[in-house]
Amino acid sequence: MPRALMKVTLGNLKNIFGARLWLIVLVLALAASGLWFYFNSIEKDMAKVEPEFFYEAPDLISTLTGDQSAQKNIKAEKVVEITGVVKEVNDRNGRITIILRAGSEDHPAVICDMLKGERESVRMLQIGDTVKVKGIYKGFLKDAIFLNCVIVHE
Amino acid sequence: MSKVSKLFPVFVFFAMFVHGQESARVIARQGQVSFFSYTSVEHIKAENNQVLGIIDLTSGEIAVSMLMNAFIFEKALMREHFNESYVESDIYPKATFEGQIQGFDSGLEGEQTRIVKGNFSMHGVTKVLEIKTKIERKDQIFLLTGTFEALVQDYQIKIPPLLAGNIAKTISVDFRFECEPYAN
Repeated sequence: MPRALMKVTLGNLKNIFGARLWLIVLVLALAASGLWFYFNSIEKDMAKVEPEFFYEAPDLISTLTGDQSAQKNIKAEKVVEITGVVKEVNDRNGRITIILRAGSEDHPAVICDMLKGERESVRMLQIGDTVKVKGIYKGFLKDAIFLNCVIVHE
Repeated sequence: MSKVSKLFPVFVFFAMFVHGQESARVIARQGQVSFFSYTSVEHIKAENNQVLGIIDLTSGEIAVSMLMNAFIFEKALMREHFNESYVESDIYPKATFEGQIQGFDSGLEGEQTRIVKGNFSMHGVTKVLEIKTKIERKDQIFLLTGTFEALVQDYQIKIPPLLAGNIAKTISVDFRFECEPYAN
């Protein structure tokens, strides 16, 4: 094979492999960034998540403080929709929090740590308003605790 | 004077005493605990904003409880590793601290710095901690703030060798409790 032709062929081969290599790198980079965003998205789109449980705030507290059999299904990380009367709205620790009344006493109550995007909706709320909130149940201390909460607009 | 009339001041005193006892506790249900891990590879920060803290103003006893799965991380993958692999929050859902504020004067308006000594339990391990704490009283509100350090290996938290460079051996922990009178 003439030497010049051989050079051209090798050059073409380099171009072809070079182009493919770049394409593979590009696809891998896109896939990796897609996976990164999927696994590292700070918040689920709670507005679209279907709740597994629906409760009035006093009933939720009765269930969580009642016997074990009643609360067996409401485990941590379940999405719950709660309807309740606003007892308090605050921005303690730089978070937007709604506290729902569950009875005549201060405790137990339902603490809802709201997503950042809810600031405007929360601003409209008044103490004593009835509101529907959806969030991820985390557990019970003196109160039931929910994170990633959003107001359910009907 | 009837017996009821004679006993009335006793009832009033008893009611005041009972009320006084109840209001001798303060509570924070939105206490904040944050931790930081600094390494050359990665900085990790997480905060829990629903930490429960109760202080008995008479005895200076303090009790803290927090849900381990309620820590908020910058990245969801960090939270997943933390809960599933490191602190195993499904097996050990809570961390607690029970202790005493040493030399605490609840009647002192303004600022006092005290040592809080007690047992901190996390991941099935209990350690005695002594934490320097700033306590500020304004009317009926008590604000407790401070920082302490915790060794990861003390709490039997196993970090895979591959990720050892990403997580500091010593974790810095900050806390802030704004306690108000406990009405219940």
